[in-house]
Amino acid sequence: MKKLNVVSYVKRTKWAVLLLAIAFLFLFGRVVKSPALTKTAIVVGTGVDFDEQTKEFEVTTQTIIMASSASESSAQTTYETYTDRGKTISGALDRISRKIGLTVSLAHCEVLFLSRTALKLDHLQLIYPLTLMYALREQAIIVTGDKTPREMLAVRIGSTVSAPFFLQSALANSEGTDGLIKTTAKDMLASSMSRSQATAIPYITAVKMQDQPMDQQGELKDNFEFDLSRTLAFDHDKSIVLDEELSEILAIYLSNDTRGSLNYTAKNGGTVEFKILDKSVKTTAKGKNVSAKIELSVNLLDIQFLSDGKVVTGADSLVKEAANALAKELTDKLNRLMRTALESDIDFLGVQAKAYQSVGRDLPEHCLDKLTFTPSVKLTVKEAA
Amino acid sequence: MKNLKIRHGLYKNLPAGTVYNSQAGCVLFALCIAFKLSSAPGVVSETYGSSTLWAYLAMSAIEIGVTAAVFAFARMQGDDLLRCSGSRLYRLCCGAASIWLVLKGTFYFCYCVSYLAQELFGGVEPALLYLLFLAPIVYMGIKGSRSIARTCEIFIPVVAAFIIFNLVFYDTTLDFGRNLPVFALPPSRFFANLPRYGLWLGDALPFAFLRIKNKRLPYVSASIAISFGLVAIVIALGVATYGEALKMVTDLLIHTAGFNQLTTDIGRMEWSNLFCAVSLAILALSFIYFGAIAAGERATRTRAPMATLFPLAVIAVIAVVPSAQEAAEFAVRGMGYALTALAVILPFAMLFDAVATKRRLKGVYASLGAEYIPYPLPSPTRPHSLADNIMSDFKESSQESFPALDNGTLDVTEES
Repeated sequence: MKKLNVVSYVKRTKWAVLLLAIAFLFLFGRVVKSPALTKTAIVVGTGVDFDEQTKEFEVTTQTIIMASSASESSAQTTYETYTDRGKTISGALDRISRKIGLTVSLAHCEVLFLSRTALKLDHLQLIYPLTLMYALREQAIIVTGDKTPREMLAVRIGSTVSAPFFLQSALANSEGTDGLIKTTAKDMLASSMSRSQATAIPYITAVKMQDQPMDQQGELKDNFEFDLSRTLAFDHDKSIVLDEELSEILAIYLSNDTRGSLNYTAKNGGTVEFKILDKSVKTTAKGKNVSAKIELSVNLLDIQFLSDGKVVTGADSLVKEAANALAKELTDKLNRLMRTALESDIDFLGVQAKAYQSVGRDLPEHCLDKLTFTPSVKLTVKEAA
Repeated sequence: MKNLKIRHGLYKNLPAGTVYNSQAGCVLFALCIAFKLSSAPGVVSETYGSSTLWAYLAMSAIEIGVTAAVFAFARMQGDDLLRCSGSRLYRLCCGAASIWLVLKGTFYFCYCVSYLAQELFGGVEPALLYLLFLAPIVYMGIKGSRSIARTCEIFIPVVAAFIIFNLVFYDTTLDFGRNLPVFALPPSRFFANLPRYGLWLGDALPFAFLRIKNKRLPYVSASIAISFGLVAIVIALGVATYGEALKMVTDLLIHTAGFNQLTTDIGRMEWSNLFCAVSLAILALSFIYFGAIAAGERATRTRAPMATLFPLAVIAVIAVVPSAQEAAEFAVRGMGYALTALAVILPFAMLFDAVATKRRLKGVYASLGAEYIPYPLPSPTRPHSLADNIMSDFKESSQESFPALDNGTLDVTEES
């Protein structure tokens, strides 16, 4: 029988590799200090405020704690809000980590509240450490509001308790309508680093619920509801809150996706409600002339005070006239938006960025007043699929 | 070892230093994707902004030219020819190529692990991560082209499937207009800055030291078209997604997976492209290491110096430089111009030398790879049986009456 040469056998086969891999894995397993999931605080919402006097950041996190015992059939979920201050965002988050006793991870954080003072800071320096070191998703939604991020995260929302959860679902389900703009961390950076240097995010106002929810023990007090119908447009040093009317058309213009409805009220008081089925926004630039063409496919949803005892369908001339009038109204609103942009000198429509793509590097900086913006809106009434 | 015949006259085990064109295509895909789509877009975007795609296209045009030169050299068996002819220029080129490939491998290594150490393995001692990463590279590089090519054949379809899967479900706000204007910088600065990124050129040079056996389909051309096309698509998507903010992206390939619309249903998908980035980097680095060894062997007639120099260079850089990022950044300053010059000059110098030698030594070139056949062919001689005392009575008559044929036998047909 042929004698086995062990050295040659090991050299020729894959055993050497396997042994080496196992040895390395042993070594790796002994020295790695990877944070266990049980030692990680799952943050669902984060808020960043900046104190211009002390130059300190105030960071707030809302963590989700799930606890269950053998006696209970379902897990109990609690939302805990922690706040601390630091010279940097990381410093404040480290202090929060010590308070919680767990490592803070933003990997599941979908909502980032930023105060108006924080928005005046360098946007790249604001977002980059969070995405790089704390694994914040670039798809996290950026919002601001009339209260501090700390107050916003701490309020109790009637429907889902947690403010970040409410915002996450509201902005995902109703994006693009009634002023709901879903601006992600990535979108904010892309816009603010473009030639326009401006972007728009939802401006939230928290209002105490008129009718508090009830449970078996009685009324549940101090529940709030969020009004998401307004928008904050801002660049690096200026900001402006847009009203509901302008926010609605801005949401249609800027949002990736648009759902919901549009209302037209005629001079005689008759109203028509259209459901948006589809939209197409094409912005083109020829030199310093920028034109925006919005095409909306809509379906007749509701009609009041216009027809007496008559069944109205989308094919009726009445509806088509209403659609054309609404298209004209929306075009006027886009023109109003442009005037607002010029007055506030905040290019939240991205006109300069578009012109830059056509003109090139010769386009002067801050030249919004030297550009023309021509919007047009077309509504096509269709049957719902 | 039994050499199994597969089909079309192809064999499972090729001679050492020979790869199929399908395997070469897989390796080429790994080389293109691993380095050009990881941190490079962020680095290039810092200088070029909205012109990043156009800078990439310009670089790709140069790279395709260099790759074509390398494959032309490999296809004409330039390596065999120049080694037979004992070309001094070739030895010089190989010496320079080996040093250049070691430098390139070291910079690439730092460039890859700096991302891994910083972003993905935060809790791990960096030195350990470097060693973990280095081990498979050294193993495969020393094992040679056949191991690398076969590993690529297994991994590349999986990697390509993951990349395509993430691109198919890509969903985010896009503006392809962000790729304009073409010249965000003045053309003079645009072209003057290009050579700074020479680290990403000449990845295909190690193919010069291989023989390529053709299968039916044009795998290499297809791989070049697919790889460079994919690079251009992903860069255009990256700029359309991030705009000027692309510079904050540390690894574009991994970040593209973050926009997979299935993320909301099945969780974050970055792991899939992380697998691609790590496996491609290991495969591509081991091929570059193999190239350094092969070039060193041709220059010094021994494999040992370059086989030890690359791991030592990596360990030395890790020991001397505080962070791998510094080494990677050094490669895109003045060093970038030197790397570009070598990446372009070496393949063309080798190709011109091979073409000149081919014209000069046509006979040698014609006999490359052929078995030894004496020339001129030996003429058949008559059987010599004069002194063997066999059939001595018939000697005179038999020599006269049985003339020799061309094939060396006797014409025994009787004349009528």
